[in-house]
Amino acid sequence: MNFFLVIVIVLLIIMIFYYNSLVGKKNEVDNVLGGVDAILKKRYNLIPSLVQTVMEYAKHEKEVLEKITEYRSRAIRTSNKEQEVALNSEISSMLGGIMVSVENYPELKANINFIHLQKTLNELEAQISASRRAYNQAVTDYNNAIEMLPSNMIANFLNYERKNVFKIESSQKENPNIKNLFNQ
Amino acid sequence: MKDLSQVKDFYYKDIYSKVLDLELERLELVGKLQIMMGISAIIFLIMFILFYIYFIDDFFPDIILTIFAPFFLSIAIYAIGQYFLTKNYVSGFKNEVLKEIIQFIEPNLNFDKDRYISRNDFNTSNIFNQQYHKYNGNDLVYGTIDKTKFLFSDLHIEYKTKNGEDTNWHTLFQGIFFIADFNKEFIGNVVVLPDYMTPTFGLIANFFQNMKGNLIKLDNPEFEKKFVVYGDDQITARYILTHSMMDRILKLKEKVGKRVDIHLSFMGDKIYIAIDYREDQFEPNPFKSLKDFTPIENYVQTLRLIINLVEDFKLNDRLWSKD
Repeated sequence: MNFFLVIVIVLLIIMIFYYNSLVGKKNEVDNVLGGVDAILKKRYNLIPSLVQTVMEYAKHEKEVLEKITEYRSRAIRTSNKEQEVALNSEISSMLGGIMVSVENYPELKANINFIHLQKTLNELEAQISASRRAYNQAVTDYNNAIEMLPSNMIANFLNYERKNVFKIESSQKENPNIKNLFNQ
Repeated sequence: MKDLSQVKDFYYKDIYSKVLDLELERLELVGKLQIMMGISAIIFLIMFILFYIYFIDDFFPDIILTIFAPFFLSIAIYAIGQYFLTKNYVSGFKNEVLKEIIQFIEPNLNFDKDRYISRNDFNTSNIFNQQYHKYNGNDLVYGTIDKTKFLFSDLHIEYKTKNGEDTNWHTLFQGIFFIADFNKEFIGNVVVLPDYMTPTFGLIANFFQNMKGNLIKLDNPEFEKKFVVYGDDQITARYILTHSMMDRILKLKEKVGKRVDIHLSFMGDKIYIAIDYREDQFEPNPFKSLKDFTPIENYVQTLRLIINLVEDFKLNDRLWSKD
């Protein structure tokens, strides 16, 4: 009788351990996602000033700038995480393009306000890239846990489902380097 | 930065007269050291005979102790004698030769043979969290390259353990400790340590490492095999340890070799790098001629490797918010 009691207690402890570990991994994903959102929000706040400054000097970029503004609004409005990620990828790519075009506008390049905005943007792009990598690692750990024995049984019981990782374009794997962009 | 052949030319052309003066001093010193060795050998013999005749039956259980006690005593006498005899030569070498070489390699640098990285800086790095009992160092090099201020020195940190009545000393770190301005702004601390567990325990290693602190798992398998990373925040850690930064750390590891451990920390606005050579760098061997450049070459290679860290880690690239 005592023997069975010991086994039950040991099994219970193991179950609690795996349950806590699984919940911890799920919360870690949410936690990192919160970090991603915070950085994206900083960029949403930066974009209007950037667009306005660039628009003053670079009239030919109007179309792209309007598109950036539109994507920003859509990204803020949407509640679909995947759509938001896709829109932000587009924004990153368009902003990268704008930064290359800046070469054609010497007055804009020399504008102190623009230089400041550009530096802040570079910083944010690096942080976005870091946060995506952190999110992907958290999701990978979570996905592994819900598929591996024995934690997958608890995951099934809790109805935990696989989460998707962010697709990182190869151009975004490295931190944006304005010097390199200019040299392209 | 000057390369090895330029330093060699400088050595044999510009400072060779000083080197020859030191070489004379060295030859004189070798003579004194040989006399010291002779004296120590005589002391050993006299003590051995005296111990053997008078104490063998009373104090020592066997003949081995009768040999060991005089042997260690004479070695200690020689070591103390050697320290005082070589003091002037070592000092002359560092001030007349090493300092000149350092300032030739990079004119903006300063050198002070008696100073070293402060205990406070060492503790701030958070690399070695273990308690230690002896803190020593020498050969501080400091200065600025472009926008980056940096400093490094030799350090020797030891801790003691008690085994009954006996106290045993162990080296926690001995090598070069490097501190420089980091080119990104961040809040928190990220520590990169050699991974001793993963090669032995594989996947289970993560389980144990997780218990030691907030583990950061990175997306570079080669880096993950060699290093374990702890940090306050997952995003900050990746903001600092970009793919290119991980490659740079791996390259540094490759340069220093398999047997030398490297530890890094990113804290405040600084990067800390501890290269655990397990020996004091830049100490001249009085039994090696200064006319031969080979021993100097090793110092130059080490100096270039350390000074190059500013370039290798691209610490002058301030494209971000930091100027």
